[in-house]
Amino acid sequence: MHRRLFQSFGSAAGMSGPALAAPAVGFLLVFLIVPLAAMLLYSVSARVAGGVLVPAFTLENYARIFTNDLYLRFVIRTLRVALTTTLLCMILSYPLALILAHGNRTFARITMLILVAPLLVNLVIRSYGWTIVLNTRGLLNWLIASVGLPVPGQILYSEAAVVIGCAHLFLPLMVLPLAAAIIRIEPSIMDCGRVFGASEFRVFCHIVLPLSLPGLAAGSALVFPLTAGAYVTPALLGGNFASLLGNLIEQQVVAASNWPFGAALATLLVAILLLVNLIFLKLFERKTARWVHRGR
Amino acid sequence: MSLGGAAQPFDLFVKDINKSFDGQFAVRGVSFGVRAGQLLALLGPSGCGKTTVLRIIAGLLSPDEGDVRFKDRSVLGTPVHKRGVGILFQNYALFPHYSVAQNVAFGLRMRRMSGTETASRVREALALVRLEGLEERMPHQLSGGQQQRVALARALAIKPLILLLDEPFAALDRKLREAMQIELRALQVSLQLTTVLVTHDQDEALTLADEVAVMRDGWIEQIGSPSDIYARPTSRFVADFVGISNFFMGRLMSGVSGEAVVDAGALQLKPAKVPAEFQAGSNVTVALRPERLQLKIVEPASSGPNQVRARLERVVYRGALSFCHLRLEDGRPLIASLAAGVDSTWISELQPGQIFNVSWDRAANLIIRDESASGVELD
Repeated sequence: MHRRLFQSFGSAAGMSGPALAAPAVGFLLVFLIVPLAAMLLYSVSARVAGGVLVPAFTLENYARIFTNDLYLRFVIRTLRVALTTTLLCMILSYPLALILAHGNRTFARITMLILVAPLLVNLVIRSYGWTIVLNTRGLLNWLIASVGLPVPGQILYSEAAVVIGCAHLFLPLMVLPLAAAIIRIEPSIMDCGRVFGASEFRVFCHIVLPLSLPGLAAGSALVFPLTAGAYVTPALLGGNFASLLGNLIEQQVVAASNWPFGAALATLLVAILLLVNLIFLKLFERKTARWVHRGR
Repeated sequence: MSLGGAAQPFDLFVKDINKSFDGQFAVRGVSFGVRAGQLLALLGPSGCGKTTVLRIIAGLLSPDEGDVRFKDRSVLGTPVHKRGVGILFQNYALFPHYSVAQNVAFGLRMRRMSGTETASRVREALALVRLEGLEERMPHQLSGGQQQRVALARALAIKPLILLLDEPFAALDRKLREAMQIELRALQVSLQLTTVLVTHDQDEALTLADEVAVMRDGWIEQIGSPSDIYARPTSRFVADFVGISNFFMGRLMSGVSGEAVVDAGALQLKPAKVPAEFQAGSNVTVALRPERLQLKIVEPASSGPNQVRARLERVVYRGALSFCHLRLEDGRPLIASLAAGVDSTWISELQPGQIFNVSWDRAANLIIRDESASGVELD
């Protein structure tokens, strides 16, 4: 019924495809392409004292990033934190995804709850929660001290704190695609691995790991850019010692009211993330190209 | 059949296996032995527990009770990856990310076999299944039959103690399936592989097996050679599941001359042999195979045991066989089959509505156990 309605609508207009795509295209145009274009435009504008914009074309803003050590350090730290967080998420995700995919049902449900429940808590409150845990006299250090291990000192306001906070925040985005990929592996393939002599560990290494790479790629493509673009978490957990590009951009735009320089930083961030994701996906694709097309 | 004799050279012995899932019995009291180089088929409808038994032998499941012995040594303490069995699944279960050669080499790699020996074993196994030259192909580039061969080569490469086949041909079309069955049987015999086959296909079980165990509701209903199972079923379930049978219920009587007769209403059945478990005066079921029935155009009807008048209702033509669906005068159905070569003159003259005198010899009457008298479903 609906289908026929759509068909007659489409064919009457003689352009069913474009007509149906129009709303989506319009949405993207208004909310993605236009702001991106504005950002690009800002990034090549000049600024005069007092924060007034002058319509001109200059690459000065970009030059400033690459000639100043301080800004480059932000870029490198951002990439380092994003990479560490992604790797940490990968490692933490496998046990969780395996429980979700193959664990007993109650256990899987509890895991899912623990994984998803934090999403219901406001991001700022969550980050403040972590400050209590990671403080010098926080929960973590107290726990370490109470079992008699040497206390590592301040964790809060370091890169480690940002990585922990971001990993907690974005873990579901890695676990869920990974679990979906693992569920798709035929149980009989794993059974075959076992029967033909692979211990559970080797079943994981030789079968589950390679066959779940598409899920890992999808998860990484989400976690990496989200961490690199994180703003609240590094502000609260990283403080002045581990703030990321997002914080620098905020500083430039809001505090220093230097929109052109902020826009240049933002453009650079977007460009880097696009490039990294492209390389990421190409690498994964290369790894799985020999077999992933079986469905087609 | 005697089970459990210490002197029997069983390669595989399954003893009194019980297994339940969530309080539901999947397998109960299953015992059987497979001698070296023999193929045993576990035959039964889906849900009868045959796959559970196979998974217990492989070590993918552990039984609640009972024992599994390979060459008279219990393997219950041996984890699945150290049991040394080979397995073939219905969906082939090839590793999609490995090439043909890597798939076949998998078991050898897991055994940490040297590269050169692995290579020669892989070559050997691929030659056995006639797949030389496809080493570098990926599984998705192969046809179903080729994938099945790769899966078989993977199982053969490790020289398994026991080969397990789980509905291995169910996904193949009929022609290919029959060709693969013959090929597999030839390989199994020439390599002297002790094999357990799980199937719901009676033809497959009868074609491939040295011994058939018919399973139902988690236990073994009857175990014996294919001809035993077909010609001498001991229960209604087996007589119905393997081949086609006519069933008549009646009272077992001692005839005039002391010979047993089953009184089934308008029909008198005189069996050649009555198993000892059935006593005179009890209600019994008699199974009659359709091919044992002879049809004659009715003449002045002679009445006597092992014959009955019936009207032909329709003929189902199946090539080599034609099935005549008949009805007795009291309304009970009867199926008789005619072979194309032997009865061909007949088949062309058959007309629905004709009255026939159907007769059979004494040995055709099989007195069997019948639980369906108490309402067990059969399919």
